[in-house]
Amino acid sequence: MSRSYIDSIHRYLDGELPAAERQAFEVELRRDPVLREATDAAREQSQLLRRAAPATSPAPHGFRDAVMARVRQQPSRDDLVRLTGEEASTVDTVRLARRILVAAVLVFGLALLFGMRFLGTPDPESLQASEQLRSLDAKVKAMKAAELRAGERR
Amino acid sequence: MSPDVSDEALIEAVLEGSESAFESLVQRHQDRLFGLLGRLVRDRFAVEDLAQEVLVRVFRKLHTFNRDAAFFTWMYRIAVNAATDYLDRQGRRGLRLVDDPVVFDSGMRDSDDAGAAEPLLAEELRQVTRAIVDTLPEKYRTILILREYEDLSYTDMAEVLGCSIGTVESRLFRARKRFKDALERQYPELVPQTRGGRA
Repeated sequence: MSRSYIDSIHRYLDGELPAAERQAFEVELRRDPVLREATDAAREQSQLLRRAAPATSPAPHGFRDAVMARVRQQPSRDDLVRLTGEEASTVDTVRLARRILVAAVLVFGLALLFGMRFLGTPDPESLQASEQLRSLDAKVKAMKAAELRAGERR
Repeated sequence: MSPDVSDEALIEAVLEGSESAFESLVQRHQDRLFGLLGRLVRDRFAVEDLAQEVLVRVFRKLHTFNRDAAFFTWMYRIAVNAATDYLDRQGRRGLRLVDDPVVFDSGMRDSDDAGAAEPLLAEELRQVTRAIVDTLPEKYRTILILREYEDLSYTDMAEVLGCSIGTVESRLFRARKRFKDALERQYPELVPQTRGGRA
């Protein structure tokens, strides 16, 4: 059974269908036994839930007085209006700070990503070149050391 | 204050500094508020504390109330948020809500109740249903309570939950489906059947 089919059934049972759609639905309901059964089943489920509603008690004696006692401790209306303005401005500041933080994290993340891309894995040619440079350097050092030793002997 | 005075007129008077106008608003809405919180939280001490908290919050924020909406839906919104915060703090998901017998009348309520001749069966059925509703994620449990227990229209639910009517419809659809699936898994004999498959 499709979602829109079931939606129509619930909107009908919940009293949410406009008059024209409601009439059309009722015509269909008389004509279509499958729709009728599905509607009955949905109605039954709704009744099952409604019967399970815990019956609640009214507010206890003295409740209103307790509320009014707390209300009398509240600041004046002018102060409450001002406080609401301040709270809103604090919320705005926090929101702005959060956005800046998110932007900073994003920039840092992107920078890290690019950095890894450029510095992370050197290509094989540059690896070979730096290897050759290192071996050349070692040879030069060895030659200089040999010259130094020969000079000392002389 | 006369019961004929509208909520709007009372709110206007409160904003001009009338304490008795707010007392009238409390008197008018306190039982309904207790009903909603009782069904969401189901602990009488918590309900009383939360109801006081909600009404103090209503007083403090009354100047921000948008008069296009009904006062009770605005108050319900504050109440649903307060109850949700409370349940989060209590870690309700790990606990099972238990009806408080002092607050909640578990006796027969509907004259057309199928269990009139078998009260025990009817009571068990109620407990099973409530237990399943309690296992649903909070947003689905709340919307089922607002619709099936509190009988709110889609428009009122949208105002209470701060979402569009489309969101209400789809959340309600999912909530009902989850409820039915859970009922089907745990108590298949209770699921209303249709000839062309399950509804």
